[in-house]
Amino acid sequence: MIYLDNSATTRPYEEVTALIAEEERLRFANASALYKPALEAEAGILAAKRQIASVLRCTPEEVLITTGGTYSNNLALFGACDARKRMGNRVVMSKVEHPSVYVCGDILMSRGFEVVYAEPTLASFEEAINDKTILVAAMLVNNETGLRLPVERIAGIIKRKKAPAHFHVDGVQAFGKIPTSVAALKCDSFSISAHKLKGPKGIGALYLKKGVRIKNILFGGEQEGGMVPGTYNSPAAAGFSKAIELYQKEDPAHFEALRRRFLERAAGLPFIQINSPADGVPYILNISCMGYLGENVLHFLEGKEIYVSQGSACSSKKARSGSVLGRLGHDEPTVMGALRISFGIENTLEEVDALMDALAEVPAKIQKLYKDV
Amino acid sequence: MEQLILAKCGEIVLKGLNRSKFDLMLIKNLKRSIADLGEFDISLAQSTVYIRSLSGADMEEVFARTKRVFGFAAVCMAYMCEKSMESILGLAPECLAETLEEVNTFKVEAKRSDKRFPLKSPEICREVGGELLKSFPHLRVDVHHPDVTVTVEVRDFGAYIHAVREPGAGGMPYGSNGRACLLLSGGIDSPVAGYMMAKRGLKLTGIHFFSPPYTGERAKQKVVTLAKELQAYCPGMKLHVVHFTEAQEAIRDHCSEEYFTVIMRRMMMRVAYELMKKTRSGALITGESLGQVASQTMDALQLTDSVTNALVLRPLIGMDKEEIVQISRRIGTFDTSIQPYEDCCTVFTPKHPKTKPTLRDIEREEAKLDIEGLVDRAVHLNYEIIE
Repeated sequence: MIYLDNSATTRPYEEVTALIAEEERLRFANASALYKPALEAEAGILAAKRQIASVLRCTPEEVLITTGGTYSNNLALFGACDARKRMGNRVVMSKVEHPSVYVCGDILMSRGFEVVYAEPTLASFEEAINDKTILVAAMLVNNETGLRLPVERIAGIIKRKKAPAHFHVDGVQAFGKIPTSVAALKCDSFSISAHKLKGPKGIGALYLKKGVRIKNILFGGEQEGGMVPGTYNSPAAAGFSKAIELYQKEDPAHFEALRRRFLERAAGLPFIQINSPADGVPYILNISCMGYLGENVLHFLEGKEIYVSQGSACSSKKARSGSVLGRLGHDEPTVMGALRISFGIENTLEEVDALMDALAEVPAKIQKLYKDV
Repeated sequence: MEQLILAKCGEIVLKGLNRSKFDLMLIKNLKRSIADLGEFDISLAQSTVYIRSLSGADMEEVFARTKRVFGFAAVCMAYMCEKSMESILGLAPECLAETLEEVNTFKVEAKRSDKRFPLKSPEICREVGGELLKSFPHLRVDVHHPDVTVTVEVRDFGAYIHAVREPGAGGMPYGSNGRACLLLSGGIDSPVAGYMMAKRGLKLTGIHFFSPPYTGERAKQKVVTLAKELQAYCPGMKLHVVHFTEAQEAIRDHCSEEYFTVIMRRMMMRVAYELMKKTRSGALITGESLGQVASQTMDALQLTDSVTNALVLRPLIGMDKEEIVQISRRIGTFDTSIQPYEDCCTVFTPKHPKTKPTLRDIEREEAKLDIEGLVDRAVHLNYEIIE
């Protein structure tokens, strides 16, 4: 099998799954309890916080362990709006956000907030942010195209416009792969997920800057200051910590090599259009098989045990308006023919070659949807 | 574009002939607090310490740590260039971009300690201000209430530009006034008391009274965390953990309940005094504030003091809880202090403690205890030192 859908999820490291099994067996106690085994279980959580803090350049106390990227995004967005609703009414986010942010925007709108979806450019954010803005959200790396948003300079705009805004960054596709310093981003919160970097599913984290107040969105126990109620998944946290440790030893230049090989060979296939920006991250490539239906190509590749995704795995059901390409104004054949190839650290150049060999067969094997493209 | 940090010396500039002793100590402390961040060139001239990284260190982190070193009045993130108007005008918009993008108004101040520099200070201000207005069209000049003040210093070895100037930690270099032992309970007050005396140049050793099974592992962990948080200001501070259960149980079994607290405090002072001598310290520090609780009334304090010959420093004696909480938040110990675990002070607390105990009553109650034995065993049995 050739797995090229690593922005959706990744195969966990063997060491990670082994560690989780061991933790489940030996350190299964409730990490919030008062007795000694609880402290041993809690060690996994503290280790994860330290690892995350060292990558994000914050303190471990500023890291909340959550159930994943979606929970982190929901908590930051609804929690911040709830805490600041008396200071203003405007919410600004980019129009290319992940559904776990974008859909929250729609819900906030239905609750009476004025939600502005900005273009992923600095000028558009500059225009949208005013002194009644209470929340600004921007992703560091777009999950469908690999586009990098100019997130570093948004904090400056918020401050200059004297907006009482919480600044949230969705860093799920960036964490561990490109430099992510919350000190440099000057954000109030930053969400991450473990399974994007060969960690377990069902666990993630939210950096929440010290002193920044948000309200909780789930209610129950006191875990993570009441922000993430529910018994800790300490084995997964230990696995998360291990995954970060191992992932940091990987060589990110490998992604560049995979991308270069793909682009070299794609140049020989005239029906392939590259949608990802040249200065995007190297591990996400959005392409369109012009004239073809992306879904058909996907299943054709599936027959050869090569797995890629159609646009974003989360939005493959909704065609134009639902996809990032559509929102960025691409035409219908581009949107309908789109595939996302996302590299994992263990993909090889041979696997890229196998993908390209398979794609080269597409014109001979698949009927076109748009005859004149 | 070379980034460096200028740390301005505080109170020690007032010292006389022994000034150099303080300077050396300040620089030693600074070096120690940033040692793990890389190689640095650190020099002192005109009451300013210049910190330059030789190994590409994270200067934001160096800045944050320097702000916590006692003895500096202010810390600036600065950029250095050649002493020519051309290089100053070239560097200013580039190095200030991040700061100026966040503000609407600014002004420029110039200091020219090298009087050979051809332009006078007001001329430097005008030129630099004009250049910045050109580069950042959203900016306006406001000489009275600017959002940001840009400073250009033309000194002996080069020109420095900075806009980020933050207050330093103040105080005297850590350790310049000797050593003392801090009684660290786990509450809000004692870490603040430690911080305040460390700020006045005392090198601290923490003492914690641990009472298993009445206080648990988490309570001890909490105090270890507090000690770690204090280490940001008190490099290398150690924590001595004394097992105090036997003494507390003896008091409960033999003494009259209304005197429990004062007798316990006196026992703690006796043990702490022994440790003070053992660590060659010159004083004990407590977080007591007059009248806050029954053991902190004037009469009770008098009784806790009279049990040893130690100099007992109580920097919080005249402060309100709210003022203490504010400092605790600022130095970052508050969130740990309010974790809800039992500590040694809340074990066996009487319902109605005596607020005006007399020495005669206390001595009568204490006669029922083997004080020497209890102190001796506390100092020797199960004793541990956490670094």
